[in-house]
Amino acid sequence: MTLCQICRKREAKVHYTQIINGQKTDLFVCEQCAGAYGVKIDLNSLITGLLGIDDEQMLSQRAVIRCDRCGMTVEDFNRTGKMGCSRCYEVFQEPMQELLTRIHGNTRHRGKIPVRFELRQKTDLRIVELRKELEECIRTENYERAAQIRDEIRFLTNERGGRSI
Amino acid sequence: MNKWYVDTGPDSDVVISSRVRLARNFNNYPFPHRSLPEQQEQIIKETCEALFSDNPKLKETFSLIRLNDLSPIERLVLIEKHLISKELAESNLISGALISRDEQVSIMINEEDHLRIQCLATGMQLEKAFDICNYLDNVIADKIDYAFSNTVGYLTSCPTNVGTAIRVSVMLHLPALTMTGYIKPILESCGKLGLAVRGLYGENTEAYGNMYQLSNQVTLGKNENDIVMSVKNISYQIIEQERLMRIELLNKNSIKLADRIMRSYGILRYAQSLSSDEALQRLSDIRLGINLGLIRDLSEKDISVMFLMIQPGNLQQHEKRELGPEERDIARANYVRKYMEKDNNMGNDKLI
Repeated sequence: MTLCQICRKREAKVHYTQIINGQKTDLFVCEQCAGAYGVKIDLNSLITGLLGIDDEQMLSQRAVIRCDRCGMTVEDFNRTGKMGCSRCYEVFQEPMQELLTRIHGNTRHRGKIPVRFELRQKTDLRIVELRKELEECIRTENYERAAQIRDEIRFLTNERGGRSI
Repeated sequence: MNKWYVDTGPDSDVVISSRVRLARNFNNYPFPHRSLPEQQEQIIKETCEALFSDNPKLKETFSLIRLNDLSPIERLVLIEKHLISKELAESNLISGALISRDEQVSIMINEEDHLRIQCLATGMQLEKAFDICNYLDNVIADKIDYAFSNTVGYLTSCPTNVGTAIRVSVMLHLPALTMTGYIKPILESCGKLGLAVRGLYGENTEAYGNMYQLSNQVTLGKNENDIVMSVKNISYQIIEQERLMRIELLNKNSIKLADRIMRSYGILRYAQSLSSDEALQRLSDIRLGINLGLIRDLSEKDISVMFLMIQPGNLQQHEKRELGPEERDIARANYVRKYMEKDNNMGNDKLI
C-alpha cells in the first residue's frame, strides 16, 4: 500500500501529475486530501476523466504535452476519449497505464500477436545476438567470421525495412 | 445465396445469434478520427489489396460498399442487418464496408478504428465466429503492419478496446425471465462478472422484443479464447435459467401463457396497423410459442425473417419508397399478414 504523501495516513488512491515549465512532479494522495487540495476526482467519467483534474491552469499546462506524431494533446483526449495514433500510447504511457488499470484491471496483453510483429521481434533478437558475436570475433581477430556476421546483420536489417534497431 | 440468418444454430431456442468483432489499426496512419481524407482512401485501398491479392476466393466472396454512395434507407438496412454500426452510417469520414455475400462477415473500414472485422452466426456459435474473424485478421496481418505494442497489445482508438481488441457477444431471447421479473438480478450479476448487457442495436439501445445482447467489457489481460469461453459460460447459465423458467410458467399457468401467445398470433395474423414495438413483442411471444411446441406452422427462421423485415429500413426498401411513421405501421402489418397467410412458410424466401 502506498501512503498518501500529504496526510501520510491513508492509502494513496490518486496519482496526480503536475507539469510546470517542463518540470514534472508526481504526487500520490488519498481521496480525502485530493479533495481538500482542490483536486476534483470524477470517478464516473472513467475515460474522459483521464486527468481527473478540474483546474483550468493545470489543464492548460498539461495540455502542452503533445504527441510528436499526430499532434494529439491531453485536452483532445479528454474531449473525445480517443487516442490519435499508435504513437500516442507511448507519449501518454504513464497516465494511460493508470487508465487501463481502471478500465481493465490489467495493463499487460496476453492474447494474440500479429505475425509480422512476431517475426520482427525474432529478427531484432537475432541482430542483437549477432552484434555481440561480431564484437567477440573482432576482439579475437577472427575477421573471416566477422565479415560473415556483418553480411548477415546487413541482410536482416534490410529485411526488417532497413531501419536499425 | 442463402443469408446466414435463415439457418438455425445450436441452442436457438434461446440464443438468437453470436457475434465476434476484432478492432485493428494500421501502424503507419493516425486513427480514423485524426486522419486525412487521402489517408482514409488509402486505408480502404490497402485493406482490399491485403485481403484479395493472394486470395481470389475472398475477392469473389466480398464486395466493397462505400458508405458515401448509399442512401439513408440503404444505410438503415445495413444497420438493421448488423452489418454496419450506427457510428459508421453517421460518420463523415470516407468509409466503407467489405460484406460477404451471405452477409455473415463484414469488415468496417474507418469506423472508430481503421478496421472492425466482424462475424455473425445463428445460435451459439462463438468459436466459429471467432475462427472466421481470426482467419481474416491473419490474412490482413500478413501484409499490413498493425498498431501493436508488446505490452498492451493491439492499439485502438478508444482505450476500452485495447489489448485483444475483441468484442464477443451473444443475442439472447429471454421472454420467460423478462415476464417473471427475474431478469433484473441476472442482468445485475452479469455486470459484476464483467459482461455488458445491451439492447438489440448495441450501445444505449433498449431491449426490444425481450432480446438482450451480452458482451465482454474487458479486452486486456486475458487471451481471446478465455474471453470467448467466459461469455459462453455465463450465457449458458442464463440460458438454463430461461429454460427452467419457461417450463415453470407452462406448468403453473399454461392457459394464461398459451392465451398470451395465441393472442399475439391472432394479432399478427389479422392486424391492419402495427407499431414496431408491438410487432417485436408479438413476434417474441410467437417465438416462445414455437419453442414450447404451441405453434407449429411457423419456425424460428420465419420469426427471424419477419423480425428483420418489419424494421423501418428493410420495410421501406421492400416497399421501394420512403414511408412516414403511420404508413410504416400499415406496411408492417401488411407484410406480416402476407407472410403468415402462406400455407407453408418454411420455404418462404420470396418475401425477403
